[in-house]
Amino acid sequence: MENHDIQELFRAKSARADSENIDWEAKKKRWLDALEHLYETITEKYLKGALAEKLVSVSRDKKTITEQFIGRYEAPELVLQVGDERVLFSPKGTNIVGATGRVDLIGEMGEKTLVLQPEERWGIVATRTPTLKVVPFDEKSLLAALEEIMRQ
Amino acid sequence: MKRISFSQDEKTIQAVWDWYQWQADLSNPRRAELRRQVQKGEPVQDPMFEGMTLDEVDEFFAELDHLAKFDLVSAAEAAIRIDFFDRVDKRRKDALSRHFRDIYKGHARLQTVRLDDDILDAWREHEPATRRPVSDFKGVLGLRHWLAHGRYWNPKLGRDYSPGDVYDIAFNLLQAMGVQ
Repeated sequence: MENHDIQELFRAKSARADSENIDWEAKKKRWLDALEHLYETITEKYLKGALAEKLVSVSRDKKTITEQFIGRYEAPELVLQVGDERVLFSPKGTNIVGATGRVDLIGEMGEKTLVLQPEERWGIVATRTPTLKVVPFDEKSLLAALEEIMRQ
Repeated sequence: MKRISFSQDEKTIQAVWDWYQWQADLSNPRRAELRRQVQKGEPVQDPMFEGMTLDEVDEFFAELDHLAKFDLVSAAEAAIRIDFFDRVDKRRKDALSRHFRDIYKGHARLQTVRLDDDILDAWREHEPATRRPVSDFKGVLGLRHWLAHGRYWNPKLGRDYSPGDVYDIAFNLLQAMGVQ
């Protein structure tokens, strides 16, 4: 494509941008809804027994995220307190390579990555090498992740 | 002082710059494609990038810039040090060369001659035209130090340096020195 002046170049660019218009506000809302759903699943399903026995306490915090195309916004963090040990579900954003969202699971001994996949399925990165392996995020994979990132 | 065994393996800043541009031409389309795929929510079949935020993608590709900046400063240092040794060896009579011989006599090994406090300060003292370029180059030495020692602290560089900035600073210094 050859452009003869700046206007022509920008006209071609904006025509293409219009045809690929992305509703960033809607994308952000879907991401924040998915986060809310994830936290509900964790607290009301996976941690239900532990919460009933008061083995863990759960609280929420807020984090400011700045993303390209979306800008600054607040997203909730989920904090698990187990005795004197803290585990944090910390959202990273929705503009993620190969996923539509990412939450870092941070413990004292390490971190794991949760990725939001199509049809609002959450996965957890089990291994990166020799090949990337993402397993579904469920009670079993949460247990394995906690064992890895919490103190022995 | 023991004579140094020169390797002849040093690179010119032009060679480093050409290499950087060639590599950037290869990697920039991949970066643009990744950004497009993220915006469109398309799957990416590359475990290297899976799960990265756009900022992390940018940081990944910025590694090439860091490498180029490091290499540019190192190439300039090699040229300046070779010139230093050449002036000492040829026993030139100008004030700068005499100053270099005094520095040379004070060191047991050529490698312990300091680029910053010995060589560059001598240039600044004897060749006024190099004052500004030397000052600019000393700024990027802070960047090189940070890169060479693993970037584990927050550097106070006073400004951002692109590879092009570092090339210009190195080029201006070598030109002011008359060093190839």
